[in-house]
Amino acid sequence: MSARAPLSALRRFVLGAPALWLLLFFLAPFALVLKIALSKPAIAQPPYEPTFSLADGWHAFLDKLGALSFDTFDLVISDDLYLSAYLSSLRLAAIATLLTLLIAFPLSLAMARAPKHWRMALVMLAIAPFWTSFLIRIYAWIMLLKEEGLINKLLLSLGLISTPLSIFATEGAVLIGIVYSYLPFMILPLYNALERQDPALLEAASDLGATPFTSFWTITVPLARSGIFAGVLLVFIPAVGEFVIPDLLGGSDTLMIGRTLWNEFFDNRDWPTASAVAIFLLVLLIAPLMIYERQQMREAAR
Amino acid sequence: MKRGLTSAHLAILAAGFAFLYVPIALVVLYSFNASRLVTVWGGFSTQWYVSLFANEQLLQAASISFRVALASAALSTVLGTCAAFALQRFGRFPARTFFSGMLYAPLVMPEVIIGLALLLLFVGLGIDRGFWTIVIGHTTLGLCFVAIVVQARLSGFDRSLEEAAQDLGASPARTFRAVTLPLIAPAMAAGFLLAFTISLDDFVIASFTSGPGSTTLPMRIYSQVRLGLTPEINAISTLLIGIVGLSLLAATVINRLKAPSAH
Amino acid sequence: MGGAPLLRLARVTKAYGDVVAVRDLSLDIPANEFFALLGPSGCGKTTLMRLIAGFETPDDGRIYLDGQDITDLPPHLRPINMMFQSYALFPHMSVEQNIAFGLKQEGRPRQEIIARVEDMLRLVQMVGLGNRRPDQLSGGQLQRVALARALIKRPKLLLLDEPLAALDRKLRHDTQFELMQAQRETGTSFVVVTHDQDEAMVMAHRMAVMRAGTIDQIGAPREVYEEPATRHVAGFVGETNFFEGRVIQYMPGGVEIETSKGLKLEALCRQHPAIGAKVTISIRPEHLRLSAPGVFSNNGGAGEILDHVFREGLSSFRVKLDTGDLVHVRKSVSEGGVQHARGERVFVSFAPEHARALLT
Repeated sequence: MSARAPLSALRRFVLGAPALWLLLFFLAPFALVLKIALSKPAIAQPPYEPTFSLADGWHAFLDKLGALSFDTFDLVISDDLYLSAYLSSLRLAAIATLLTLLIAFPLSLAMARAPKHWRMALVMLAIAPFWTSFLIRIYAWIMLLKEEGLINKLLLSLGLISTPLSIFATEGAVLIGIVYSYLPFMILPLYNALERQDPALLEAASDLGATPFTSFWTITVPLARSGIFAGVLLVFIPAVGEFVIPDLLGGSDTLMIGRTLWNEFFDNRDWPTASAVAIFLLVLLIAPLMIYERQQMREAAR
Repeated sequence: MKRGLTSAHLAILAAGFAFLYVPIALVVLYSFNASRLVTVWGGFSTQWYVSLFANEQLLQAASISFRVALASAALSTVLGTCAAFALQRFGRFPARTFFSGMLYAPLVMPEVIIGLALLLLFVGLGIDRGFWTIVIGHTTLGLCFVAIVVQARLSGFDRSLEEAAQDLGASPARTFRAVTLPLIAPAMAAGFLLAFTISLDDFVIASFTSGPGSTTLPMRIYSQVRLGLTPEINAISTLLIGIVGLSLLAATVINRLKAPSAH
Repeated sequence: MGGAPLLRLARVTKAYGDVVAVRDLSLDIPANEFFALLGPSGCGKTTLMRLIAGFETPDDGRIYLDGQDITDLPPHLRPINMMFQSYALFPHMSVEQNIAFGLKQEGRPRQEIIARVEDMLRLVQMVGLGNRRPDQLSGGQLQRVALARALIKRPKLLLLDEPLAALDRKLRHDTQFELMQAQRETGTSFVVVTHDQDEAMVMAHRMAVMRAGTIDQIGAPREVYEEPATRHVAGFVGETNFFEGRVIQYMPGGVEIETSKGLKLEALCRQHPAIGAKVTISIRPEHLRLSAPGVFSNNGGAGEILDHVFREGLSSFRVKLDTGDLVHVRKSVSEGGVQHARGERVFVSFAPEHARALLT
């Protein structure tokens, strides 16, 4: 566009301010997580050793470097508890993502087909729950799902069941919680992708002899690919590391890695192990994260 | 082929939105429940709202949460807007991919990881945890959201408007103030609101980055919920919902008003 | 129009990566002239316009306005204004505020601004609509506000980017005359950038026909039409028929060529090509004669009428010659004797003084 000098002082500030912030408060911390994962737990403040400090001389630094070990990593890889937690998290996140997709798709489709002047309002309505407190929304489901909760009360009073269902404190409750909380994240990209589709495409397909069913699977869904992709990643990746939902809605046997991390950190005060858990979680998520980043780049290029 | 909604579509919309809103409506409804047992309806009462205002801890936590949200939303908006401009207007600067990668990552990363990392940073640097460390944590998350909202607005921005302003004699600085800024202001406001809500609502990051004396509202609510359901929680939830709902309404109304006004 | 030109471009070059948009281009535009930059998309006319306005800086060459070198001057300091193709009216300001914007940047006193805005509204016939917002205006109204906004600063030069492109036909017609009138009344030089040769021909005093970064020809519309300098100009400005062949002999003022299919045709020629050189003859549809077979046999070819279209007082014929060439003949109804039916055999011919032989 216009021929201006690429990095004037103003530009350096505009780019530098957020860049520095992110480097300092997002990227640098991860280096620390790695370092602490290599440390040993200690009854001290902070509860790990060795601790590096600027006062160390070069020798002290090397000594402390030698004290770092991969013990925690060994533990995390070999111990069944962690392994099951990772697997269970991936499994639950995957199921929840699929359910969210199945519920969000028809909803987004209906929103995209609505008359133009409704659409903005519908989108606002779909997003509005996101603005209310996350915690509150989970709390609502506790109210609903407990044995003495509202759903059981309703079903009992209607005579549909004779003993209360125990949904609360099971994986089922956690799934409901994840689906409910992350639904707006799936609806938005799906809606955007579907809304962009020209309705004339389906009319053309119908004109050429396709049934609504065929049109849906051969036209609507493939064209919404980018939206599906974005929605799936936006739900799956954070869901894997969820803590609040399994903690409040799940039972003691509901294993999710976010909870494990929390327990190691706050209850066992084992910072090195918690850090190792975090590192592995990150490693697990690297692939989907990279895919997500690539998606973003492609969207931005359009 | 009929354009517009079929009855099936309407049914789906109704079911979908019912699913989204019924739980929230129930929270609000049961905040007026006279009975202490949250799920047993004992008549209409506003007693829990009254006792709320006597609950020092909750009020203290609410105050901290609001101040944190205000501070972090303000910082997020400034930093996020800068980031959006950098990505949208600076072309292919060195390390651009790296920068945008850093910008999008916090959006999807599980909060426990971000929280843990931040805490370790503060401990490693010897920074005492308290009000400002929570602000830092929330700003880091919020700035990404603001960047997305502002960037979306910038990408659809008609550059010829800025060229026209310059053509008519406005220097680049005046052009920014007279043309660019007013036109992206709604997006910045939406970003601020978004960052504010995210901060107000956040539990995980606050738990990791807070210190003694800086317990936020979600942290309080969480610890009470673990102990059991009480109608007071319903009451404060309803209040929070009300506040957010009202600000959303205000934002929409302000946007509508801006359109035909003279100045 | 003697003396120094108002705008002078001296050997201006601008490239984007490997693509050279404007190549070693020189151009003079005097004061008080309606000038058109005409060319197909991709010819560099938009780049040239942006160079003049200041939104791009040339890689090479200089730009002078009224003798002053403005090459390095940023757009907001140039006494040149532009009317954008999309109008670029500020959506958050009223019509009055939009028009007043330029004067506000100059720091003019409030009373003066109010008075001049009133004058402008009168000039573009938008009196009483000052409080409206751009989203409440029609296409024609938007354009008038855009024009007013640019003219109120009394620029030395006004650039107009495809000013009629967004208007429907009837409106386009009226607007053409409004623009010409505005140019006369203000005395500002207007430079219209367009791909529509009709626009250029109607409005401009002089036009430049561009191709691939350079100017093929500059002249008054009539001159460019009747004496095209290149194939590109002949084909782009108005309609024409081309015959390609090699020079077989010289004629007074021109040459005779023979096409690959054996047609022998004569035309005027401004240059002096060698015998055997490849040359293209351009002959406009209105200069072609249709006669019954046998009446004429010179400077033309026999053929059959493919179709006949009647439009706005003109009869258009497509004729396929026996040689395979397809030609377009146009006659106005008032010339009479143009009853030819489909399938009819005719002889198409022309007078050499109406045709031009072109080398490039």
